[in-house]
Amino acid sequence: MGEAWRWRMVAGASLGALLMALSLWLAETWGVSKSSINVCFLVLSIAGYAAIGLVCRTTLSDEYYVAGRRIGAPFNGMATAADWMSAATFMGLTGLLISDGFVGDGERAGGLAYVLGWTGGFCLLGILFAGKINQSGAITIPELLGQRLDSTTVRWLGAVGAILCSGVYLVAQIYAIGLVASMLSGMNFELGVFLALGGVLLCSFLGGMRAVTWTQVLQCVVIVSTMVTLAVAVAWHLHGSALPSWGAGMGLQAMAQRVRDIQVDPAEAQSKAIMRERLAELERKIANPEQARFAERQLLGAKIADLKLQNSPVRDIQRLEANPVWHDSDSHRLVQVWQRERSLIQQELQRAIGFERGSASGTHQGLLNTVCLVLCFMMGTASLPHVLMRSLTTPTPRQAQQSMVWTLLFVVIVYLCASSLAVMIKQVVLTDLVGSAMHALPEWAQNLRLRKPALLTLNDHNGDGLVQWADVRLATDYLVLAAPEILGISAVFTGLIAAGALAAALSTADGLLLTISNALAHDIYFQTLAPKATPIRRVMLSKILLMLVALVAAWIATYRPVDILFWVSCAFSLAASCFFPVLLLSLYWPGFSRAGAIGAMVSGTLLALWYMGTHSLAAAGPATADGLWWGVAPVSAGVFGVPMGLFAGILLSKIWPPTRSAPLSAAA
Amino acid sequence: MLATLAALAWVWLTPDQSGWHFWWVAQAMPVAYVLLLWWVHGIRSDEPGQR
Repeated sequence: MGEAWRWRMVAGASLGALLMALSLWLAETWGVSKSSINVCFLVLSIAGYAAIGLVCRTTLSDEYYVAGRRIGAPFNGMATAADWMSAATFMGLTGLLISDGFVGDGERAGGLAYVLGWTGGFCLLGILFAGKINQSGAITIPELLGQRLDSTTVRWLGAVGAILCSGVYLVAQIYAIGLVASMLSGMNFELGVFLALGGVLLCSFLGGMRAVTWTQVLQCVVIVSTMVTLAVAVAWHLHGSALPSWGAGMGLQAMAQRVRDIQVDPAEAQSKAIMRERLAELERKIANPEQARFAERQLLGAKIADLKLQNSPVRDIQRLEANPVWHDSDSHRLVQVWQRERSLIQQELQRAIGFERGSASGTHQGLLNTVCLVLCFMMGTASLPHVLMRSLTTPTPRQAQQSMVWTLLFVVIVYLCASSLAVMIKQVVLTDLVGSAMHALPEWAQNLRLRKPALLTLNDHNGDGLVQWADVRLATDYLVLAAPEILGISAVFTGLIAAGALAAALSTADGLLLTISNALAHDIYFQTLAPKATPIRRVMLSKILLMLVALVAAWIATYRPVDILFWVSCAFSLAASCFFPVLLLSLYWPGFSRAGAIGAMVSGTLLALWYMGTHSLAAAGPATADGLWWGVAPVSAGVFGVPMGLFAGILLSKIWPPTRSAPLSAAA
Repeated sequence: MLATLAALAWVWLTPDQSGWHFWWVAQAMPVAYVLLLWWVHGIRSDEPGQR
C-alpha cells in the first residue's frame, strides 16, 4: 500500500470518527438518553479498533514484530504518540493540575514537572537513541542490548527489566480502561475491564505490531481531536475564544482576584484550623494506637447504643459502624488508615488555591522534587521499552528520528490543551462551587458527589453550611471525564472525551502487551529453549503469551490499584534506572563491557525498587516523609538509580573491559 | 535539559508567585522542545540515512 493510500485511509477513518460524533450529537438533540450515547461511543470505538486489527492480521514474523519496517515518519510519529499518551496523560494530568496546580504544595512536585518531563524526554529520545536503535535492526530492545554486548545474560536482564516496568504500566492502563468503560456504560468495573480488554486483544493478538501501528494511528487522531475539541469548546463557552491557551490566560487573570478573596476569608482560615486540630489528633493516635483504639471504641459504642435506644435510622447506625475502629481489631491496619488520612489532610492544607505555589514551608524542597521528577520523566521517556520499540518500525534511522518530531508535536498539542483545560475547570470550581451553600450546590457538584466512585467529596469542617476550598476533595484520576458536566456543555463531549481516554489507555496497553509478550517469547523462551524454532512457531507462541499476559494484568487490575498517576510515574523511574545507563553507554562508549551492562542494569533497578518499596509501597500510600534521601519523593527513585547504573557500568567496564567489540551494524 | 533546569530555577525563585510564571513555562517550554528537535534533525540531514 503506497504512502498516498495510507494518508487517504487515515483521512477516511478520521472523517468516520467525526461523522460518528456529529450523528451522536444529533441523536442527543433528538432526545436520545445520555447513557445510550455514551455506550455508542464505547462500542463503536472499540469495534473500529478491532476492525483494523482484523484487516491487518498477520503471521509473518517481520510484520508481526516490527510492522515490516515500512512505517513512514509521520505515521510512526502518530503511532508513537498514541503509544506513549496513556490514560495517565489524558485523564490524570488535567486532574493533577486542578488539584495540585503547576508546582504542587511547595514541597511535592505539581503538574509542571509532568508537562516538562514528559515532553522533554522526546528530545533525549530523538537526539540520543531513536536513530541508533533503528540502525541496529533488532526486533526488541533486550535483543539490541544482547547483540550489542554479545551476551545472553544482558539480553535476559533486559527482558526482565522490560517486563517489570511495562507490567507496572500495563496494570495501570487496564485499570483505567475498566474505569472508563464502567463509567461510560454503567456496567460493573470488572466487566468493563474484560470487555475493553477484548478490544485490545483483537488488535494486538491478530496483527501484532502491524495492526497495533495502524490502530494507534487512528487512536492518535481520536486522542488529539477529542482533547482539542473539548479545550476549544470550553474556551469558547467560558471566554468566547477559540484558542484554549488564550482562554486559559484570561481564566488565570479572572482567578487571581478570587484566589485573593479566598485567601483572606475567615471561614477558610477556620476550616484549616479545624483540619490542623484533626491532624494533631491523628498524630496522637498514631503514636499510641492501642490506647486510641480503646478510647474511640468506647465512644463509638456509647453513640451506637444511644442511637439504637432512640430508634434512629439504620443508615445512621451503619455510618458509625463503618468506622474501622469499630470493626477492625488489627491496630497495624488502623495505623495505616490514620496515616493515609494524615497524608490527605496535610496535602489539603498545603495545596494551592489557584495556580500559585502551595503553602508548605520547604520552598527549595519543592524545587528539588520538581527537578528530580522532571529528570526521571525525561530519562524514563527515553528508556521505556514500548516507546523505544517504535523506533524499529521505520525504514531508515533518519525517519526514526523525524518520527520523534511528529510524536512530540502531537504530545505537545495534547498537553497545551490539557493544561488550558485544567485552568478553566479550576476557574469554574473556585467561582461556582467555593462559597456556595452545602444544601444548594450547583447541579454538576451534586451529580459528581453521587457518582460511584464519587468524583467530588465535600467535608464541611467548620460546620457553617458553606463550601470552603479546604472542604473540597476532587478525584483527580478521572475528573476530566466530568469536565463537560462541570462546564455545562453538551453531553456528547462526555462520550467524546471518554472515547479519547479509552483510545489513550487502549493504545498504550497494546504497545505494552506486545513488549511484554515479545520479551517473554522472543528474548527468553526462544533464546533458551528453542533457538531453532520456525518463524511461524515464534509468532504463534508470542500470540499465546500475549493473551496470557493480558489476562493476568486484567486480573491484577480488578484489585483496583489506587492512583493511576503514581503507578505510571513509578514505571518511568524503573525504566530510567534499568535502561537509560545501559543504552547510553552501549550506544556511545566502545569500552562498555557485558560486566558493566549487567552491573548497570542490576544496581540501578534494585536501588530504584528498594527506594520506592521501602518508602512508598510499604506504607501503602503515595509517600511517607520518614527516611527519604534529601526529601526526594519515592516516585523519583530514578534520580538515584540512573547515576548508580552509570557508575556501576563505567566502574565494572574498567575492571573487566570488553573482550570483543560488537559494532552496532553487526547487531542487525 | 540544562535549559529546562534553568527555566525551573528562574521561575521558582521569582518573587511573583501568582501562577503566571509557571503557566508561561508550562506553555512555552514544550513548544521550545518541538522546535529544538525539529532544528536538530534539520541540521543532521547530511548523515547517511540507510541502515
